[in-house]
Amino acid sequence: MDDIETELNIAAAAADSREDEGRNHVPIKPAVLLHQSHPDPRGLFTAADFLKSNRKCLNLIREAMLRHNWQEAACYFSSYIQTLEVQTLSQVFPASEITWRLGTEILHHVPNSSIDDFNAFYEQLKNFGVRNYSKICLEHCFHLLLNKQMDEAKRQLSIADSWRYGKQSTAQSLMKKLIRAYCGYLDYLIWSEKKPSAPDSEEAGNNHEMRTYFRQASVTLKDIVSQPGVWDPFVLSYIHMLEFYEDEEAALQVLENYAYNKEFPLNPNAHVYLYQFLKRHQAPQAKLIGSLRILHSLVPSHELMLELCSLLMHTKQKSDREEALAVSMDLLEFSSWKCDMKAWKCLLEIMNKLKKKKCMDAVKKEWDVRRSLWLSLHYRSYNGRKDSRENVQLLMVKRDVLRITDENNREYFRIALKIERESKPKKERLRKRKERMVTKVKEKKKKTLND
Amino acid sequence: MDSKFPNQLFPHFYLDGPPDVKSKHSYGGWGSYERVFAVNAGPCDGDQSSIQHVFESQHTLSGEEWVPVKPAVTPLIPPNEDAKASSGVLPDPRDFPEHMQYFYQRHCMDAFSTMGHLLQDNLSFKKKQPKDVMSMRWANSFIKGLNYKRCELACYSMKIRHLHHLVGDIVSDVPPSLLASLLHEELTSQREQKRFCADATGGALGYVPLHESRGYSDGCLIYPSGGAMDKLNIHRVVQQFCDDKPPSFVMDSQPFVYYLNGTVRQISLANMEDVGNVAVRSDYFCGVWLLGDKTKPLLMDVIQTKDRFSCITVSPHLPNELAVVNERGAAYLWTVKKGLQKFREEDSNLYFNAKSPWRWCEFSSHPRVMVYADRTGAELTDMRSADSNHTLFRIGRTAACMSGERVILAKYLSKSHAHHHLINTQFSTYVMDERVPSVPMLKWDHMMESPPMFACDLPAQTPRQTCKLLLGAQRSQELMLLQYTGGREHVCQTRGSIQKLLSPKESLSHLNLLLPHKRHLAQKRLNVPAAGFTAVQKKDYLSVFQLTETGDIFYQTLKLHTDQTASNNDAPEQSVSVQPTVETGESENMQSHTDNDDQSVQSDSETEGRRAALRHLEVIDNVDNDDLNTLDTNENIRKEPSNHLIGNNPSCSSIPPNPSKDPDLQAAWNKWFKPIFKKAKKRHPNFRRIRTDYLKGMMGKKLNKPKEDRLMRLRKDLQEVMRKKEMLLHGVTYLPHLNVTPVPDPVDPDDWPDDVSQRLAASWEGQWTFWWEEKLGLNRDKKIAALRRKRRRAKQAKARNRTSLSGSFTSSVSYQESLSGLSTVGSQCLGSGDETLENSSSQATDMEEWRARPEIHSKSPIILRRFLNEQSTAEKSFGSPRKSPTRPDQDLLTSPSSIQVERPASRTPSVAAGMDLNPPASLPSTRPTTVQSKRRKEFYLSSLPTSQISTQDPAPDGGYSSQRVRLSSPTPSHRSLSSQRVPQFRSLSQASQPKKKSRMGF
Repeated sequence: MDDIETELNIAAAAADSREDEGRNHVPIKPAVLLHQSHPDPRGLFTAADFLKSNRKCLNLIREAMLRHNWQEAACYFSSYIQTLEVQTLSQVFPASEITWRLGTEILHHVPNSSIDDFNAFYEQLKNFGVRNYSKICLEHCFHLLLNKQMDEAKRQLSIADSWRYGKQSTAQSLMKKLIRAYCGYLDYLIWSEKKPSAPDSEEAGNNHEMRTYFRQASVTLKDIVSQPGVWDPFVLSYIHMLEFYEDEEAALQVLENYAYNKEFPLNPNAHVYLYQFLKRHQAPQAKLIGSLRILHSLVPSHELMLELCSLLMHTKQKSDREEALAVSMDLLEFSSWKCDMKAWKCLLEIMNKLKKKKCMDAVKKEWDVRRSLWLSLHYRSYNGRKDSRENVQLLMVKRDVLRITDENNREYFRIALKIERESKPKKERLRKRKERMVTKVKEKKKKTLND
Repeated sequence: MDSKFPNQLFPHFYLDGPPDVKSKHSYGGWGSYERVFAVNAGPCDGDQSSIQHVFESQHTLSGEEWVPVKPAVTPLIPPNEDAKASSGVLPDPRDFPEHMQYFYQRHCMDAFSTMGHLLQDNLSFKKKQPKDVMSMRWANSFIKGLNYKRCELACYSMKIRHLHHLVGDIVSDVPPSLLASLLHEELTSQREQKRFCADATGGALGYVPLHESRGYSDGCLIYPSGGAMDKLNIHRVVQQFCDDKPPSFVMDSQPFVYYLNGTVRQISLANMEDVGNVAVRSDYFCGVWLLGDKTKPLLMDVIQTKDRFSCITVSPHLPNELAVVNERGAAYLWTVKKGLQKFREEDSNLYFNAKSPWRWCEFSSHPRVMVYADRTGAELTDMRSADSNHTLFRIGRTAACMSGERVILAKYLSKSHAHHHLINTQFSTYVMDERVPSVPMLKWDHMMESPPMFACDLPAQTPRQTCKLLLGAQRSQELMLLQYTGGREHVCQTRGSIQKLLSPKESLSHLNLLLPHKRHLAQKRLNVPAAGFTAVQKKDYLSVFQLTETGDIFYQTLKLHTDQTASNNDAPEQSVSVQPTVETGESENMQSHTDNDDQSVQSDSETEGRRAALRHLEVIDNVDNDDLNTLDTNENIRKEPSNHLIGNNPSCSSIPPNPSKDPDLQAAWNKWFKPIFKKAKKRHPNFRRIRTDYLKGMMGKKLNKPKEDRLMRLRKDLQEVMRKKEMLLHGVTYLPHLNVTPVPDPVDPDDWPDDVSQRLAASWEGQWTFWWEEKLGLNRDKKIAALRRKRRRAKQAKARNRTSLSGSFTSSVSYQESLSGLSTVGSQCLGSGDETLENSSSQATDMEEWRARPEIHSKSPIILRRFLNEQSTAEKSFGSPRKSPTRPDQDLLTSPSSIQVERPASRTPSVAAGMDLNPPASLPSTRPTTVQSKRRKEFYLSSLPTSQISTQDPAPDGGYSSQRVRLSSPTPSHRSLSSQRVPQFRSLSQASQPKKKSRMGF
C-alpha cells in the first residue's frame, strides 16, 4: 500500500516539479502532504481530515488566483495535486478537471513556464480522467497553435480524432465533432500554405498532394458546415477551396445553406459571405439586391445597408428609390450610426434625388412616420451643440436634411447658422446670406400663396 | 465605429433543447482558450497566405493589470446611524421550536392571554383561596415540571400529564401545530429572501459625472440612506487627481435629501447631456429626477401602481424616456409627464416555466426596440409593431448553460458598444450582440459565490485598451473585474483572467486588531449584503464605490499597472498588493494588546484564512510525524526549515514585507467606527466591567529590577525565536525552574487482557481492522506467505553458512514438512474454529480432557479461568522457559493482541518510549512480552496441524445452525488461546525435536 502511494506521489509531483525546475535550482521541494497536515487528537490522519484540508487548499488557490497572486497559487497547487491520487473514480472527474483548469491558468501566469511544461501537463491530465479527454486534447491543440507549432497541433488533433473509449467518446460527441472540424481546418491551412507553390499552370506537379489535403479538409468541413451553428472560419476556408477548384455551384449551395437555412442561427456574416461571393462572380444586380434585402430585414443596422442604398438608387424604379430612403432612415435610427457622416450623406443624396425626381410625397410620408422620433433623436438642441463642437460638417448635412423635410426646428437652424457664420469668411457669408435671403423670400412668398 | 461587424466569428454550435449539463465545480473560468481561428486565412487574403498563420483565441491571457492602491476599502461617508445590521446568519427553518419557545416565554400575554382570562377565576396565586379556586402551589411544581423540556410525557407530575392531555391544544391562543407550520414556512421564505433577494437587482448606487476641468472632476453620488433606506441622497463629490497620485474624493457638506415612501431598490441613470435623468425604483412607485450641473435636482414625475415594479431603466437615447416592468409581466414605455405606454405583456415566462415573477427591461441600440427579459431568457421587442419579437438570449444548450441556470441580470452596454448586451446568470456572464441573437459572443464563468446582481461597464478609453465589466454580488459582496476587447472590426475576445476586487467585509484583517466585542460589532456591520456599486475610471485610475444594505459607502481605487509604471516604480505590484506576508501577521499579533486568537474568532475574511494557512504550512516543520510513509519527507523538510516556505513560494522572497499598515486608512476607519461603537455603548449601559488598571499599576511599582530585566530578556528571546521560527525552551530562559509533575504512568494494554480492552487498545493505535482480521484469522494467508518467505530467506542464509551436506539435507526436509503442514492450515483453521465452538455446548468435561484436547479450552471463559487458576501452580513447577507469571490468566489472555508480530513497530513511539523509561515494577516489561509473543506465535503455528487432527473426533452434533456459528465467529480468540496454551505443554515434551527448532527463526 505504502509503496504504491509513494510511487503515485512521485508521479504526480513530477508534473508540477517540472515547472519549478527552470525557476530555481534549489532541490525540488516535496509537496506538503495534505492528508497529513491535520492529525486528529489521537495523532492519526483520517479521510475526513484530508477532505477538509483539501477543500481549504482549493479555496486558498481560488482566492489567490482571483487576486492574481500566481506565485502563491502555484505554491498551494503543488499540494493540491495529491487529490488526484486519493479520491475514488467518481470524485476524480471533477478533481481532474479542476486540476487541469487551475494548473494551466497558473502555468500561463507563472514566469519561466515553457512549452514543455505545458505539454507535460496536458498529457498527464488528458489521460487522468477520460471524461475530459477530448476537451483537453482540443485545448492542447489550441495551445500549440497559438505557439506556432502547427505540425505538432495537427498530430495531437489526429490522435484525439482517433480516440475511442467506450461510452465516454459518445458523451463527448460535440467535442469530437469540433475536433474533426479543426482537423479539416488545419488541413485547409496546410493546403493554403502550399497553394502558391503550385500555380495553376503547373498544377500537375503538386496536384496529388494538394488534392489529398483538399479531400481531407473538404470532407470534414462539409460535415461541420451542415451542422447548425456559427462556422465562419470553416465556411470561409471551405469556400476558398471550392472556388480554387472552380466548383462554384457547390460553393453557392454551401453559402446559401449557411445563410438561409432556418435551423441556423442568425449570422450577418453568412449573408455577407454570400453577398461577397455573388459580387465576386458578377451576379446580376437583382440577386445582389435580393440578398441584401434579406440582410436588411434581419440586421437593419448592418454596414452593407449603405451599399444596398446605392444599389437601389442605381435601378431606375421609383419604388426602389423609396425603399432606399427607408433603408437609410432605418439605419440612422440606430445609435451606432447616429453620428455617421457617410450614412447622413447617403440619406441627403437620396432625398435630393427624390426631390429632383419630384417624389417629395414619398419623403413626406416617410418623415411623418418618423418625425417625432427623429426630432428628439437627432435634432435636440443638445445634439446641435454637440455636433457644432465635434463635427461641423455633420451639422450641415443634418441641417440640409431637415431643410428638405420642411421641418421648422428653429433651435437647430440657429446653431447651424451660428457655426456657419463663425467658420466662413465674411464676404462669402454675406454672399450666401443674400442667396438665402432670396430663397427664403421666395419660400415665404410661396407659403403665403399657399396659405 | 460600432456599426462594424467582425468578419469572422468563433465557431459555435447552435443546439436546441434545455441544458443538460450539471454544474460540478465553480472553477470553469480558468485554463481554457475556448475557440481558436486563424486571423489571416480565407479567400480574401488568400494571396498572402505564404506568411505564417496567426491564430487568435477567444480567451486570451494578457489583459490590463489593475492593482489596488490600498490594501482595503476606505469608508467614504460616515456610517448610516439609523441602520440596523442584521446578523449575517441565515435563519434555519428547523429552528422553529426555539422561536416558538421564545414567543411563549417573552410574549406570554400574546400567547396565552385568552385562556389566562378564562382561567383567572379558577386559579389563584394566593395561599388562602376560596374552595372553587385552585391554588398555585401545584402550579409551581407544574412550572418546575416544564423545565424538563426533553420529554413532556415522562413528566414530573401526573397533573401535568393530565392537564396536558386536557388543555394542551387550547391553552395557547394560536394552536401550536398551526403556529409551528406557519413559522416554519415563514422561516423558509425568510431564508430564501436573505440568500437571494431579487428586489435589489440593478443596485441602488449611482454616480453621475457633471463637470470636468483640469485637476478635478465634479460628479454626483446618488444613494439611499436612513433606517429603511428610504432617504434619497444626491450628494456632490469632487474628484481630485494629480498625475502620480491616486484620485481623492471630497464630499460636499450636505447632500440633497428626499424622503420617499418606501425603500429605494434601484437607481438607474441616463447618459448625461446637459441635464440627465435619474430614476428611482421602489416597490410600488417609481420617480424621475432631473439632474444638472448648474441646477438643483428636480423631481419630474412619479408613478404608482398596485403591482410591484421589478425594473426601471432610463433610456440612453432620448431624455425623459424610461422603461418600467412590473411583476405581472407588463412592460411600459414611460415618457415623463405623458404617461405609460404598454408595449408588452407576458403572463408566463418566456421559454419555460421558471415560476418567477421577476421581469427586466432594457433599451437596445434602436430607441424603439426593447429587451424584455425574465429568468428564462431575453427577447428583443419592437415597440412599433406588435408581435415582432425575437430571441436575444435563452437558457439552453446553445449558450452551454448548466441545468438550473437562470438569468439574474440583463444590461445594455451602451457605453462600451452600441450593440452589446450583458446577460448574467448565477454561473456565467455572457456578452450578446443583438445582431447575432442567441449565440453568445463571449462567455465567462465568473466563479462568484452568489449570483451577480449588479453590473457596471467601463468603456475602453482608447481603442487599445480593454472594455471592463464589473460584476457585483449581493450576499457575498464580491466584486469581479472582467476585461474584453473587440466587437467591431475584431472579434470579441476576453482579456486576462478574472480579478476579484476588495470588499468591505475583508477590510478588518488589514486594520489594527479590535477588542473582541468591538470586532464583533464591526464584523456584523461589514458583513451585511451589498446593495449596489458603481465605478468611475479616470485615466489610469479606477475607483469603485460600494453600497451595503446598511447604507454605508466604501470605495477603493485601482491603478493600471503598465510596464512604464514598473520601470518608474521599482517595487512591483506586490508592494501595494493585498497579500499579507507571514511576518506582518505575526508582528501584528505582537503589537496587539488584546490576546485575541485570530482563528478562534470566526472571520469571513479569506486573507486571514490564508495567513493562518501559511502559518500552518510552517508549523508542519515541527510536527512530529512518525508515520513511516512521511518520515523521509519530513526529514527533508527539517533539513532546510528556513527556506522551505520560500522555496515553495518564490513570491514570498520577492514581496517586500508589507509595511506598517496604511496610517491614512487606519485613521479613516477609526473615524468611521467611532459612532458605531458609541451607539453600541449607549445600548448597553450595564455592561459589566472588571477593572484591571490597578493590577497594571502594581506591576509597575512592585516589580524589582532583576525581575524586570528577566522579563525584558524573555520578551527579547521570544521575539528572536519567532523571527527565526524556532522553539523557545524553558531551559534556555532565565525563568525559575518549573515543578515538573511526572507524567502519570501510561496504561499498559497488557494489564487489561479482556477482549474489549484489547480491541480498544488496538483501535486506539489505528489497528482496529488489523485486530479483527487477526482475530478472525482473515490474514492467515498473508502470514503464511510471510512466514514462507522468511523461511526461505533463513534457509538461504543458512545454506550459505552451512558447509556440511547433511545439515542442509535435514533442513530441507524440515522445510518441506513445515510447508505441507502450513498449506493445510489455511483451509482447515476455520473449520476447527467452528467445531470448537460447537464443542463448547457440551458440558461434560473434566481435567483429563482438558489436557488431552486443547480445543476445549476455548469453552466458556469461566471454566477456562477456573482451570487456569488450578493450573497456575502446576505451571510453575513445570518450569516453563518463559518467565514465571504472577498472574497467569492475564498473561495468557493478552496473547491475542501480542500475537501481532508487527505491532511494536506500529506503536506510537511516545508511548513506547514512556514504557521503556518507566517500566512499572509490578508489570512485566514490554520486551519480554514481545519475545513471548514471538514464541507463542511459533507455538501457535506448530500446533495447528495437531489441533486439526484432534478436532475430528468430537462434535457428534454437527447439525448446529450455521447462523450461530457465524454469530459467534467474531470471538474466535478462544481458539488461538487454546492453541497457544497447549503447545506450551507439548513444547516441553517436544523440545528436543530438531524440526521445531528450525521454526524458531520466525
